[in-house]
Amino acid sequence: MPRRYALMLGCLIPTRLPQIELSVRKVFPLLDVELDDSFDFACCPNSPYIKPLDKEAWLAMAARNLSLVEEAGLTLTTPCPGCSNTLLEAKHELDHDKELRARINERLKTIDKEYKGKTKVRHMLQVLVEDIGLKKVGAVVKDPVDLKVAAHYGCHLLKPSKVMGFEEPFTAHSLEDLVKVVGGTPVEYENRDMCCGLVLGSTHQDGSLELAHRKLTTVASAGGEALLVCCPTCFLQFDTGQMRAAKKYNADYSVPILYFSQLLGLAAGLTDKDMGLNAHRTKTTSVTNAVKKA
Amino acid sequence: MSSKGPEAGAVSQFSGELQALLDPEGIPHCYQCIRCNSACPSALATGVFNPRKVILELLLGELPDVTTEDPVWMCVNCHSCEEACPKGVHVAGIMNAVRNVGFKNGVAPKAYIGNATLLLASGLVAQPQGIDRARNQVGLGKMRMPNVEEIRKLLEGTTLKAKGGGK
Repeated sequence: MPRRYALMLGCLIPTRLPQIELSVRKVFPLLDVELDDSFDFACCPNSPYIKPLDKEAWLAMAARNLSLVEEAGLTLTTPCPGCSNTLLEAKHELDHDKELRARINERLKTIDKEYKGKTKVRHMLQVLVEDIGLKKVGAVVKDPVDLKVAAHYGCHLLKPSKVMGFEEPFTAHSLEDLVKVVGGTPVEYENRDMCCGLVLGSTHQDGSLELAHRKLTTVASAGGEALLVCCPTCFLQFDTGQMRAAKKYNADYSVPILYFSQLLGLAAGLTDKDMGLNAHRTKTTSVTNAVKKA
Repeated sequence: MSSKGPEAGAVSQFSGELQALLDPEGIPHCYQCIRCNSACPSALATGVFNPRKVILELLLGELPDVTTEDPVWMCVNCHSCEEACPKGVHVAGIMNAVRNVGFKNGVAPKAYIGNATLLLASGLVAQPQGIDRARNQVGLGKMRMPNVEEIRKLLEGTTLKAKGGGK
């Protein structure tokens, strides 16, 4: 029996980084996962911008997204940690504050919806390592990817840890474990747990590029041949932003960026086109060259 | 940040959520140890954003008069501060509550308002231009957009709807 999940793609992935959408749609069925994309999800809404403006609106929209899945009785999964963070933080508040839940439900009533608190939320990396298990994931690996890979977890997959309920921020290891499973070598580097800095760019462009520069410099100097991410925001910062940082700092990092399901897909025998590598800004030829075709 | 009514020990002057965040059990939890700042990527990269100082001002009873240039908008909600805080203070929650007050007065940087405007226009935070082209490039078809009329109805009467720009 396949495992079924309600798929919430969020905003950034389907509109700006469809290569990530493509890769999860191609890879997860190989692991006997069925993704139901029939739900009318809107923006989660994002916590860096919408929550600081109006928390009530943020909660109402999050509660609406969660309510859509309740009747279907599915677990909601998303490739975006911004979405999983917003939904889990909103759920945490609504499940621990009856008055707040009643107030948000009054609002939901105007669109014939109700939040009952039944929906479970899991980022797709968590589905991969906890629900499916890396042992089963290893069984789909056909073409080992012989590459030194640095992992970047970003902020919202793991933090705040007491709400996200996945690995501890400073000792997380699921991405490094995945690198080993596909035949690569995880690279240790300074600043692994530092924010990518993309969001800071809207109020402080120099600070944002500084964070990208620090990260990419340490990855490259530690021998990282690729940077593995699980977040579209981090992906944008290190892929598109890498060109901006290279120009500002007169640097050549040459670090290709991979979303975790793209790495797994390549190892599972899918092509670079299947993984949408043609849409990347930073060259990925070193990655495709490292795939040892069986 | 300028101040409004700096009465000593005036945490109780703030209503609702902000007070609950500062003063969860009748005692302000923050003792100004600066671990939030040390863990903060925005403090590191900008040298001007200082979450500890925002909290100090609040503890001294100063409700910040938030402007669009205020460094508090440099908080990216990464929650690194909360992981570092030995007292369990919801530092990011406090930064949000302060900014919520600012936005009620119509104050927010352009990028924030831009996000709100996009959200109210389509239900997603995404520029409509170039979506089909990006999807075609990787062989994906048109995406289905959310029911934005329902979103607008849901947000009726919120600050976001009133001050978020657009139609």
